Amino acid sequence: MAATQVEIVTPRGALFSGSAEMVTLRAEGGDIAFLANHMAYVGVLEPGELRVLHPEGAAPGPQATADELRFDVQGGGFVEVSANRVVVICDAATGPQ
Amino acid sequence: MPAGLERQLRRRIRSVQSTQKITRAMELIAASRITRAQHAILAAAPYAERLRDVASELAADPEASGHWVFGGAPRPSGSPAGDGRLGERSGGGAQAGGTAVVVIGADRGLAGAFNLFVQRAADELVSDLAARGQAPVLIAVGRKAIAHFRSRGRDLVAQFEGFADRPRFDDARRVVEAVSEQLKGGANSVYVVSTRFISSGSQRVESRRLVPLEREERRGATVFEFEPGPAEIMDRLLPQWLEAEVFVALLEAAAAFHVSQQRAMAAATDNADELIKTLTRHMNRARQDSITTEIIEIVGGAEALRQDTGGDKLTRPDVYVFPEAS
Repeated sequence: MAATQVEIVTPRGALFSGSAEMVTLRAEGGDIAFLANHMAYVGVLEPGELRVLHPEGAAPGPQATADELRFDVQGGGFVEVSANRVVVICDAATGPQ
Repeated sequence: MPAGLERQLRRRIRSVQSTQKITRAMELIAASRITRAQHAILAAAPYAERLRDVASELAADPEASGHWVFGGAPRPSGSPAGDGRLGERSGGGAQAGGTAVVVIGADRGLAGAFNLFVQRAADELVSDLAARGQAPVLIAVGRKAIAHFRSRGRDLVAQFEGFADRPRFDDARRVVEAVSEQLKGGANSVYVVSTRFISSGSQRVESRRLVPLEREERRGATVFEFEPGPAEIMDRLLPQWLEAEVFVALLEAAAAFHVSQQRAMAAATDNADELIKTLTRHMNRARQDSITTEIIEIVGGAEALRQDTGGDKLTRPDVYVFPEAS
């Protein structure tokens, strides 16, 4: 399946940077999922669960081969999608679990 | 009194040596903190960068670019950042159309001209803004910056200390809360005066305007779907983007402070070395002088004795020979 670039950034550093099949997260209007080649979009991120499906290129370690990465979004932020790249900007988040 | 002088010099050398121990320790501590501060800058950079991206995408959107933060339109009284409650504003805040200036100094000195440069740039900016009628109000970070403005008799609308050499994100958030307070009070521009950390060999004090946002023309830019609308996103983005910018500025200033301190302390350690060398030379000279004086006294005394007894009986040559003094 086609992949999209994914980046999750916080003030303390990037939590994830690589590619994945799908990203789901809680946006202001409700949960939203991004697949490859999603249209250019900027939305408001809400606290909740952030999931990265079939990730590739995650930081080395046990999660590098995981089927799905889960992040806990505690603060607020934005999600920005353009040119097949999903950027999650969050001021407080932890993970992957 | 040559003997007293020698003792005095010995005491001074000891005191310089103990000062040198302190400056050397401070130099090493500063050096180790530089690395840590650099890591923090690198970690925060992508976050700030992505927020800047979103801001510039908004700037390219026709609806959002009319937002007051781009300086185009007058501030709507209903916007969240500008509650329009100008009447409720307590004294000491920014006037409508005023400017909030965040000055980032250090908590401690012993870092060469680090604080001086920041203070000078801040004073320049403040008088510049005042001359243009932009009514600057000051938000100071760092004990040294606070003390500087105090001594100038300038009012500070907010002051922060205790985290300048190791800022955390929550510290940036508190500073931005003070800035937002001013924006609510009617200020429509924000400046930051801080030391930028370009590399470990290059730091520079900069006065930067954060608000109004720079609007770059981007032709053929992607058309984004904003949810909620672009103006609402801008309202939410503004504080978070300010936090990121202030956080990066705090981190860079901290790194630059450690570099300045390391340099200042390295110079101090070298100076102490010089001073110890000179003082040791003086001390040796003083000791030699006192030895010479003693010899002269002994020789003089012996000579006097010899003359007293007619000079015949006391001609033992060993009285006159001082191998270690020759």
